[in-house]
Amino acid sequence: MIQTKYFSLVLLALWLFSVPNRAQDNRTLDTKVADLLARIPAENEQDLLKQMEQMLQLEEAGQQKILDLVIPPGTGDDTQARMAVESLSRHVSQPGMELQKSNWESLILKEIGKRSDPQVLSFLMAQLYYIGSEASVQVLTPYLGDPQLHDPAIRVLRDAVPGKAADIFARELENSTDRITIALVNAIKETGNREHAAAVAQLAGSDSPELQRSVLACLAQLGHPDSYKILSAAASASKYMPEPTNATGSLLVYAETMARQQNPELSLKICKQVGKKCKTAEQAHFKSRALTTGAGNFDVEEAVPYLAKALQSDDRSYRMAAINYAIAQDSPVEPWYPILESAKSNEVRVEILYLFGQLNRQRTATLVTSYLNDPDPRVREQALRSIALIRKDDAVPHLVKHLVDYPAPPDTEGAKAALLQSVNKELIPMLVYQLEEAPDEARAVLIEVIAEKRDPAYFQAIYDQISEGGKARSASIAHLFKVATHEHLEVLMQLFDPLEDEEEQAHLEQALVESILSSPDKTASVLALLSHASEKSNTSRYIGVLSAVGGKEALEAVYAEYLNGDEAVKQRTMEG
Amino acid sequence: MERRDFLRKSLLGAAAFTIVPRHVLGGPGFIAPSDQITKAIIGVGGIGYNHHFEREGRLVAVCDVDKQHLERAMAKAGQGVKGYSDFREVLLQKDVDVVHVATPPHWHGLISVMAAEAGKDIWCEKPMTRTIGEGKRVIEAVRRNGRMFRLNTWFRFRGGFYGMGVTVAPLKKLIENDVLGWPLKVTVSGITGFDWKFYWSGDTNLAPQPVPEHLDYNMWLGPAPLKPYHPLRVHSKFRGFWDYDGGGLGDMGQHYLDPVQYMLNKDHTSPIKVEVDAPQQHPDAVGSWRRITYSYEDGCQIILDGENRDKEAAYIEGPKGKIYRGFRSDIPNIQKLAASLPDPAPQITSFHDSVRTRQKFALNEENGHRSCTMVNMGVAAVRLGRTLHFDPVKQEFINDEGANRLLYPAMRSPWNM
Repeated sequence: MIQTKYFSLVLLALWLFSVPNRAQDNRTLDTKVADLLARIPAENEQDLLKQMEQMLQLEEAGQQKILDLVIPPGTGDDTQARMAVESLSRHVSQPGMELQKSNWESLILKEIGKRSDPQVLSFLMAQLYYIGSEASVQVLTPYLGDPQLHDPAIRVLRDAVPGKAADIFARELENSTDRITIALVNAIKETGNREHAAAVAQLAGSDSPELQRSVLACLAQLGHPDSYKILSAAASASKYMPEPTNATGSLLVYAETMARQQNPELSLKICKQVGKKCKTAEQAHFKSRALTTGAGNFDVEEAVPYLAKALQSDDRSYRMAAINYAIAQDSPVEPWYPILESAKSNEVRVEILYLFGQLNRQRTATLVTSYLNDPDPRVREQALRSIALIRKDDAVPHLVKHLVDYPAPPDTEGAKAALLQSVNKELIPMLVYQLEEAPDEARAVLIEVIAEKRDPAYFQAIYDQISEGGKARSASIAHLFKVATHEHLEVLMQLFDPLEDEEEQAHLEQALVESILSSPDKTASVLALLSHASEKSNTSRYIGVLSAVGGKEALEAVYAEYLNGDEAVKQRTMEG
Repeated sequence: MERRDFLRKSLLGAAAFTIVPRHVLGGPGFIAPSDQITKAIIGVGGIGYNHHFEREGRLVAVCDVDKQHLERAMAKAGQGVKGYSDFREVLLQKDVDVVHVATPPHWHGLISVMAAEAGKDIWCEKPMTRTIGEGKRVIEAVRRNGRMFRLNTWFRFRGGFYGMGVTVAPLKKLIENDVLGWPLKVTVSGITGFDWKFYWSGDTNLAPQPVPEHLDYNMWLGPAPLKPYHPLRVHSKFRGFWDYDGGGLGDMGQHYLDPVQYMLNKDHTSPIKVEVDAPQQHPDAVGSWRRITYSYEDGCQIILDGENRDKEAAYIEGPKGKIYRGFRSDIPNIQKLAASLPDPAPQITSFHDSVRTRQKFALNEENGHRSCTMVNMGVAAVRLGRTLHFDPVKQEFINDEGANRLLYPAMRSPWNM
């Protein structure tokens, strides 16, 4: 009871509030329309909503005045009127505005009846893209034969009356010609209504490749049983080659439609037929499509033996069509185990290992890991990639062992990528431990991976490898900068002083720069470096570092070197 | 043996090459022309002319509906490169392996589908398609025909990631390892390093003009509605019209949004809601917008702040921390922390590797479609001027017939997918 009283009071208040506003609005309809148009474009959604409410309040008479302002392009500026019209169409196309939508559609349809300019008519029909309903059928059907307006009319009717559109289009088909026929056939295809397949079939065999393409595509999509002969004959006539009518493509679409319509016998027959006929590179995609379309007739597990036959082919694109289909279908892995073992070549083995990596099932981990010892480096490389995906950080012990067992490219490259993908900071000690035992090339990779993790705690481990020489030394010097901090400045300077190799010097300069830049007191670090350089009387050796670090002290030191140095030193200071 | 047969068989691997290495015959790095992957560029006006000549592949054909563009491109390409004015003829050429689609976006989906049906691999400019429905059909065509597809943006796998000063990889590592927590809010704005291009709006009230003799305007329009010719409608100006593109959002949106989608691990889904703050839009000409907000089912949000309104915006914000432009963060030593984490799963970043191995390219038809869906959801919401709700599985707007009629607009005949 209290709620009802409260509700009545709110209603009364709202009414009282609105009465004076209405009473004060003495503007003529023309003025209201002009005011509304003058405020276009609305700045935001709230203003647009207000504008739309006002436009709806103008009712038919006011809305008609706005429609009257829409004129053919080039005859004046109707920007505001067009924006108002289209905005209202968009506005009433949202849920809950059925009555307003219906009224606005009626007015648009009336306006279409009054106008003759094709561009204005096209604009008005475009409003029905948003709001067209059964009411539009009568007005728009005559435009299906109009050379300039059949496309917008088709678009409206296709969306406005999906259940009836095919009937309307098929009726028009009888009297249509050229481009309109193509448009109608395309539209019938999109409705998916196969009752009119016979009418479309009558157009098959046209001399126009464009029409023939549309007819075949339409028949394929609709999937009437009688269409098989036409589609098969067209594909056969094209010798199953790519050509403007895409006859073979359409035959394969028909096979897909048959699969959807629970006719696997015909679907598989077509796929087999196309697969047999397509032997050249130009036909490879048809052959692949026949394969995957055929596979679509089986459930995922049953499809595996069907797909596996493709792995006997010498054509990688065909084999990979099978593999990519299995990935897309999230294939079970177990049926692939014997296929992997009996693969006709290492290349096929690589492809199945790739499949396992993409399917990413833990239960394949042991099997895939066993291929790390395959004699073929391509197989090992793919196994490394797949292992990293499947085992994640659990892969690290296997990857490290692999690196030790196969310390040469391409294994080192593959292992490095896989380690970077698998190692987290908790696992770095495992890599450090291996630095003692691993062969030189393997150590170089381990050093790079450790350094890449940028943990200064491992500076010493990397530094220690410098004395080992070989690739490990090169890798250590090249990557020290990634783990260097200001605490390592003294050690780095000691290392830098005797270096003679220019490449090593450049790497160490980078490490020195990182070391100084990481210091909480950069000036103190620069002064320490200058003091060290002065003691050794080799400040000029540090010009590159000082220039990269910058700052007053560094600049003064470089300038002094310029003033006192020989030509070579002057040159280096200028470069710095 | 024909060239494509040779290529197909040579995919069997490196073994054949190691018998008599090519570089022995032609010098280091030499690949005989007959062994190279060939390409045709369709659309050689701006992007096609300026960017696609240099991309990998031996150019064998160029195509444009504007004779002036075609002549200029053929002069640049030099001898032996064929010129076409109808892309359908290009698709029938046996010596073309990869088709580069560098037309205005209203052609992207259609040419990609027809190229896949003709057995070509596809390198398509962004935005991938102009509607969500077209994107779904590109996926079907590429998948069914066993083709390789590359979308032409690259920030998910290469290059300085705009305002971050790093690639996207360290950001992805932090997100994958829950350093920032979940859900995340990503703000794409000038403050965080991404300036939106608002000047790509269209002109209104264009009086019809005579079509220049050198332009096949009917073919330029192709599947788009028939509208009178005006020079401000075509060529570099097409970006300002809904029929062909979607302004700065259409043209640059996928550049900015695709790496975000990758970072957030949203390659197989879409937002469930898009909200816009934009002025009223013209039926034909694209206007500007101020803010677009995408929300995912799990609470993640992507905000496109066109006006740089939020001056303090972090690029990525999560419950545990924020990352700002220049890879600054309220989490100490964020860069070192990122380095310590495992790398993201590897991606194939050379399209020709993808063509040779038949393994999907990093940015392919599927994840490309999902990032383009964000662009097209935004375009639909800006045009309609209202919040839209989206079903990422059905890929339809929820309870909004007006919006759903923008998903599969019928094409102008004779064009059809």
